Amino acid sequence: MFSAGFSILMLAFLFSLSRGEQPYEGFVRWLDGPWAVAVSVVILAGVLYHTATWFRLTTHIVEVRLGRRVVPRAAIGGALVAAWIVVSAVVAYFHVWFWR
Amino acid sequence: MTSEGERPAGPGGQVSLGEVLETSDRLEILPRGRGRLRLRLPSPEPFAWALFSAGGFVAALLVPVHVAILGIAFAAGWLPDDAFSYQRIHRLANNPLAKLYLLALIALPLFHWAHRFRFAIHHQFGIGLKRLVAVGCYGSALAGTAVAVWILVRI
Repeated sequence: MFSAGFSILMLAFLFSLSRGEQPYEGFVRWLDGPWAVAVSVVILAGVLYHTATWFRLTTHIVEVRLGRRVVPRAAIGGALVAAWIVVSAVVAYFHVWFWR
Repeated sequence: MTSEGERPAGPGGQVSLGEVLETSDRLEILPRGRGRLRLRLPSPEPFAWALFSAGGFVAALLVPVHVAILGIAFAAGWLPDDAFSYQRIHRLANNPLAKLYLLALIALPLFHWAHRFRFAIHHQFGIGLKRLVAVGCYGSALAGTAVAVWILVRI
């Protein structure tokens, strides 16, 4: 539900980008305003809740075996959270600092 | 006590994954002929579940950082001044790999939403109309994907 809201936000951003510099600057000005932040806070809260429940669900579904031993759920959850942090850092790097 | 025909809800009124699977399209494919074997076309449902799960992972792993950057960090002034300049973002989004990434980032959560929302309409809102709901949900996701392709090609 909230991630679909993000998809629409991203589509609007890219649509303004495809229309040229002036429409893009207009959309970026809207992004700077209070409405964009309010919408984003709601989406972020919803999506973070989804991340938590989705990872929890994954640890209950996936069973990883190393030889005869079953990897404990906490370890899978930890690996997922670690992957989430690494992926977020990589995305942030490309989105903000790459090619500056 | 649940009345006849009503589905017992799980703890807290929530619908469990098992119940969702139980009412999935698979049940309707069971042969109903009198002892005869009936050939039916394979259901496209596993495909919907695959997109649901891929979209779930994209939404969990990738979407939070994007929302935080695009919607919050920029307005809060935490980013360098030229991070969102037209030239830079245009150059970034022009890369074919970036376009492929953006398409997955936008489209997969849409299919996740479509599949999830379809069952929410049936279970949480108690509305039937299976075919109409399915066409509406997957249709919106397909439309969103088509719009994304159209925009990305024009960048």
